[in-house]
Amino acid sequence: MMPSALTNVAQPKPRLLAAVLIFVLMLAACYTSAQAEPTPPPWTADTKNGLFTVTLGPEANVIRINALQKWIVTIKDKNGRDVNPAQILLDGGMRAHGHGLPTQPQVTDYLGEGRYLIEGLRLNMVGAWTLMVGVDFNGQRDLVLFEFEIDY
Amino acid sequence: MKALVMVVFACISGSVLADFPAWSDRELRILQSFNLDNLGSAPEQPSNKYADNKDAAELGKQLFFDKRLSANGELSCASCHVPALHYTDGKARGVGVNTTGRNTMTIVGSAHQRWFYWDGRRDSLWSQALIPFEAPNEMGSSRTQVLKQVMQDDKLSSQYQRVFGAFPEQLDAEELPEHAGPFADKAGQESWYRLSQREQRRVNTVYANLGKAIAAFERTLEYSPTRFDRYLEELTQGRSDSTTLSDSEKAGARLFINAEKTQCLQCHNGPTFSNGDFHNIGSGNFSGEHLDFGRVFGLQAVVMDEFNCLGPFSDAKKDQCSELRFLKQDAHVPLEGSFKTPSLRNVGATAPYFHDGSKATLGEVLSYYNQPPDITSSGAHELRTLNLSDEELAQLESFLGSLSD
Repeated sequence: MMPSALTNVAQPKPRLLAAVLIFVLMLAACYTSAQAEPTPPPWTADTKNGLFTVTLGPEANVIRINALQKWIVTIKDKNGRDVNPAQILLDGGMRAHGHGLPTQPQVTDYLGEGRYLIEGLRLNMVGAWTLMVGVDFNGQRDLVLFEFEIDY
Repeated sequence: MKALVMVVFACISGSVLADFPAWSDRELRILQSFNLDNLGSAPEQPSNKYADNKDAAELGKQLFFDKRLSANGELSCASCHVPALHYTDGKARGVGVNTTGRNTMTIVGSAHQRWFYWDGRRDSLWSQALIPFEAPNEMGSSRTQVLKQVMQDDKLSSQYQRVFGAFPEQLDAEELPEHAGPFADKAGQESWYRLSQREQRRVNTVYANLGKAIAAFERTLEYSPTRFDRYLEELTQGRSDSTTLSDSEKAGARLFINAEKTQCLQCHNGPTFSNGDFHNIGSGNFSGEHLDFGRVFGLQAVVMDEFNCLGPFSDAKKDQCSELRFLKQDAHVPLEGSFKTPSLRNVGATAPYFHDGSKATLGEVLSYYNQPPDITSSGAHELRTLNLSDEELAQLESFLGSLSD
């Protein structure tokens, strides 16, 4: 799964952007043991190296199939402090189907208390989805995968 | 209400049907997801503030059926979008001035779509409606030719000005070139680029409005309830013994929603039986006469289109153009040969099938899905072999037949 959407409230410099992309690609390639997410959103999980705790879910915590939805991602450090400003990478797809996200969601606003608004995320079918959140905060980089099933 | 429906479904699933095994609760939830009532009215169209204007729709209807807007005076939008054929043409590939490269899609229910054409190269009904006038194989005309016809026709001119106001000052129909447009033939293009940018802008303003009028008409072409919808309604009324669908059709519906047996539901979901996105089923044409890479070029075209939601002729604010703002612009390999998932409503009455009309019957389509081409020979695609029996294929086909009004 190729990361394709580096998003940030503040525009990153191209060289930094490239570095983060490479970093996340490497991490994504190594990180294959993702945790199952049987519970309804929002979901909370630590990033792979324990640098951050990430909470992810759609507004109103209901996933609507085939709708362009807003999501909220909340990022805290290991001491529970708000992480801001962070560069956030969001990508995903369906492993079993071999395709990525149908849209290119973006972080469009910082809502305070470590919460970031994500716009433009559409999940267009039921089944097993993966969403990846990559975080770059003052040079500390880590990521987490959320794997979950959408059903009727 | 939802709870009531679920209670009714639960009662149904517990009842005893003579020949057809009862639907499970999950199956009933999936069936309910197809309910036409869930579709609602056509979504707002911020890029076209005339989308729900009745006068605009009436003008659009006149334009839709007006053969004078074609190069040879013999073709209108309705020549390929034939009302009696669910606004398709029954041909493998559309035939205008010449034969086109693609199958004619229906425009019934198109107001609910996000992208237009098989490759999604337009993002609104109104921007789509502007293409066929100038496409060399379709109506073969040009935007100045269309404008002259409208501006010099008393009735159309009057209808236009009632909706959009006066034509731009300094736009004189008599002085417009007979045949000029950026997508017209070579002579038409040369003529177009001899116009100043201001002149082009005036022409485009009126031309965009004509598209918005046609879109207002097309928005009125909504889906009608089908026999399948009536069956769903009967289920919600507790009529578990309904024979509106035959046992074969019910068995086909069960296969259709069974993700273990088939992959139909992945793309053909929701009330329109389409997720509106682009998928690769291995039908791209990467060699030969009808070369067609599908979405990979449509993606670039819609971003560059001056009539898109973010363009100067759109009525939308930037933040209202969500589809374009969050468009995935990564032209990755799977997009080569991807095409838009068509709705399955009226599918039994809108043959032939696939983007190039290469499948004449639903039986051929289902056989293809049952045994898709080898990936190594057809490029990447999303299908897997299904191994359905002939009886199961027949059941699926009979179910699809119930989706016509």
